[in-house]
Amino acid sequence: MKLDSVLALKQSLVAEALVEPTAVMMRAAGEGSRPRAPVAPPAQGLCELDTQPTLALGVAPAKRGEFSLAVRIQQRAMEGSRQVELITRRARGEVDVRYVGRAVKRAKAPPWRRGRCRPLRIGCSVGHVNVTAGTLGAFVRGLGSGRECILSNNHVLANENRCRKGDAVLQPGRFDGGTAPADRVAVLGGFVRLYRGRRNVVDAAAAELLEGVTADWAKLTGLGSLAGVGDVVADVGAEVAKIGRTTGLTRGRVTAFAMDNVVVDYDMGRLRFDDQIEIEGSGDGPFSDGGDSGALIVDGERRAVGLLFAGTDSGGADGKGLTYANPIHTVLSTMKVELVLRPK
Amino acid sequence: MKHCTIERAQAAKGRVRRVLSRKAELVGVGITRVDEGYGVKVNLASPPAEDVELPTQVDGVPLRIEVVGAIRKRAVHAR
Repeated sequence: MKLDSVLALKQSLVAEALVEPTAVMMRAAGEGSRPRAPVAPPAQGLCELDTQPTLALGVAPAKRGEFSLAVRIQQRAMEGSRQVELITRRARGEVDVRYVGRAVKRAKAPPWRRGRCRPLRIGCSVGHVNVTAGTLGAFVRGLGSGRECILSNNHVLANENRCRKGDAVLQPGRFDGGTAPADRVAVLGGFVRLYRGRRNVVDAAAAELLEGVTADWAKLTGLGSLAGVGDVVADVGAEVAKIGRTTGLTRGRVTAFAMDNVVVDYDMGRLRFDDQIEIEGSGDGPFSDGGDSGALIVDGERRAVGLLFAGTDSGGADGKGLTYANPIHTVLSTMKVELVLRPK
Repeated sequence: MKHCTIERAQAAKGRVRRVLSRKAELVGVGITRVDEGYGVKVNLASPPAEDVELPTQVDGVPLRIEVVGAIRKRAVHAR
């Protein structure tokens, strides 16, 4: 057939067969003849009413520049059915009939970091019950209860001071589908208050793990194992990496340290931070993006050097933005906690 | 030219902040590498006005000035 003829036939079959063949398809599929409420059919093919896929029509190349009607069968029960015979007759045998099975969408599954993650892992989505989502940075101990805790930012676990001790912390965070109480993994244990109008040094909080919640204490997915705490000062040029809820594992380098007067936009206003670390990405994308807050930054020997909390959309050698982190020594000493690399 | 030490760069930060904050909106003043030595990195929220000239050094300490834009917390923001 000529292309125009195939297209016209296809259109005609779609128009004619969309409603009437329903019962045929249902019987052929062995589902009885009980009528079902119609829904809008797909633009292409004879698939109708039911959510079960049946047939799809298209155009297939044939010999000598001609074309045939492509009939794609999505249910075994439709092979050799009256409907396929009818279509074949209408096309005068110029058909290319194939069983293709059920077509499924090829959408990329969300990364592990944004889903439910048990045991808990460094880099996964986490957040106070009223916060969208951030990143689980590391596990720490020392808030007084002796329990292991999640370490992240105040604005991730303590909602920029708008919280109470004991508030639920969800994994994944609310933005990633976490709900209370089903996804409650910890309760807010302590945080460093954020202030407007005076200098801040850390944006940090810790949430005590609930009984029975397990964790891969030191696993840095894609990197190895967390090896402890790094040097007090991460010098310019030092290579670093992090695992964040949004951008996953990224690598970068320190571009400045001891940075004062870092002015950051929060819900509560513009806050000033002193003695911060600045990092630029060294890969194809930015070192961090929204949702990576709370990620632990490690040096080339997988030792903790910083706690990611802020960033820009521009700047850096590649123009993809700069990332800011609290020095991890300051975070741990201010919070009065220590890193956990293994269970007690 | 003699390279600047980390101590000199550190000591100059306060003065750099005072000098530059009159000329542009600062969002960070820190220590960075300049050649084989150190200098002060100055981050600006936006480019300075056209008629404003920024210094390249303060008290002999080299400056690296960069327009980085607004700095925001990195929580998920619905787009």
